Amino acid sequence: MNELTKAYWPYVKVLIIPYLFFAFVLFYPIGYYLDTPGGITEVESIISVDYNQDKEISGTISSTYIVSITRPTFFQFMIGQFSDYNNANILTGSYADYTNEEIAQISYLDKETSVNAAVILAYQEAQIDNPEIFIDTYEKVMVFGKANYMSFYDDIAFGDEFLYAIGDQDVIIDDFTLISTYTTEKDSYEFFFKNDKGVEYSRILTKDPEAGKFGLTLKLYYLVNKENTYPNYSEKNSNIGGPSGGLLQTLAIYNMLVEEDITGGKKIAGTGTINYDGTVGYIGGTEQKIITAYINKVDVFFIPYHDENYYYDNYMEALRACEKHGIDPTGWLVPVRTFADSLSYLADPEGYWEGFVL
Amino acid sequence: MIKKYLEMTKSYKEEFTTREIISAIYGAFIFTLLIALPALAAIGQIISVYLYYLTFWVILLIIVMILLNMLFHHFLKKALVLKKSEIKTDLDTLFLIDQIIIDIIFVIIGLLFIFVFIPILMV
Repeated sequence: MNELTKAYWPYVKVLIIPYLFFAFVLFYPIGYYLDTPGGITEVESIISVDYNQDKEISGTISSTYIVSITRPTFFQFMIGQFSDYNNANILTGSYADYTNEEIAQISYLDKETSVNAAVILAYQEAQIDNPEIFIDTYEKVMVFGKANYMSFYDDIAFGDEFLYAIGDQDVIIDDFTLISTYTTEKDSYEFFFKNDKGVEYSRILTKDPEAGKFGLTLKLYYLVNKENTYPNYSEKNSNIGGPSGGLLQTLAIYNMLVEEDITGGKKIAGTGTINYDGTVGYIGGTEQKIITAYINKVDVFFIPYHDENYYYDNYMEALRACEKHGIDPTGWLVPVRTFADSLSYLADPEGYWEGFVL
Repeated sequence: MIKKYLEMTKSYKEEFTTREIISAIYGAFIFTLLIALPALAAIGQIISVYLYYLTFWVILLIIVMILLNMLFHHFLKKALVLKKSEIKTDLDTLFLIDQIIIDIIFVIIGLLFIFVFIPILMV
């Protein structure tokens, strides 16, 4: 060791400053986000249904993921600029206030609730022709957002269940939509929650003097009661978060439940959240998802479409992305408004375009 | 070939004390680490940004590991030469065989990642 240090010391001395600079560039995070193309994941590899085990599925149904780096390092940001496929921008909105860990928690919550929504919808659709299939659900109100001024910020986690709050005149508020109605007389009220370990706890939340709000966002979810659901399904752990796989998860689960194979031997992918009423919701990172689909040579790519006059409509964004990167969208890029639209397309691709009004 | 390798290893161990060998390995490891750490961190970050070329990056990573292995053995030889100027053992051949063995392990690990671990992990 000593001999080497002596022999190379002049070089070490010269390189120490560039070395430290490079280390800074490699590890210092900046307040941007970087979206880059990712890949496609077969839904079958994540969710399986114990039904129709002998059925042969000739094609594949995959959700599409992109790589979204929140607060990249200088180095990631710089190398991200070398490709036209990547998109970097300043971190804004509530995400700018959240830590990377909190964003990961939100992403996990989104994915979990999205899978539940997909299962509910797919089972309900399959139930129409097959009464053997049934599903039971329950409601759960969960913490979905936290403003940085919220009291006990670190104690209340994303995904914790809201149980009730004690409102004016000691009224018990168990309907979260009535919180603002029954919390007008004082600044502080007691809220009761249950964490992911099943432990109930309460915290006295105080309204922010400027915003006049508690800074807590709650959302109602419908979750599957697995004990009263047939057939059983299981979900494997996945590294991919977010709700954007909802539509494709619904399609894949539906295909596992029905007798016919809706894939028709095609490599089907797409994106879009799924709502309980069957409508498909907008997603982010459209450009990167289109590139991912193009790189992976998919036969069909479903994308949410609701309003051609809305600049950020996903289908309109997708068409702009195709134009920008010289990709021909004909024949594979399919706009859908609902889950039923995607089924209609797969049943009759040509007839779908005839009836579709852009 | 194996016999020759074993003879060279024996001669190497006779020529240097265990303390000298450990000191040389330690020095070579530290100096290689000084180069490897930023290089691997940079490659890791490139992979995170250009994940869609993952297979290509794994191949590149195997090549980088082979180069780092070469560098380690270069430093190791240099440290041993600095300790003892007249060395009878053919260190070049001895270290070349060592490198080939380690490189084969790197290639096997890389191929396992490409064909087994990545398809499992990327869901």
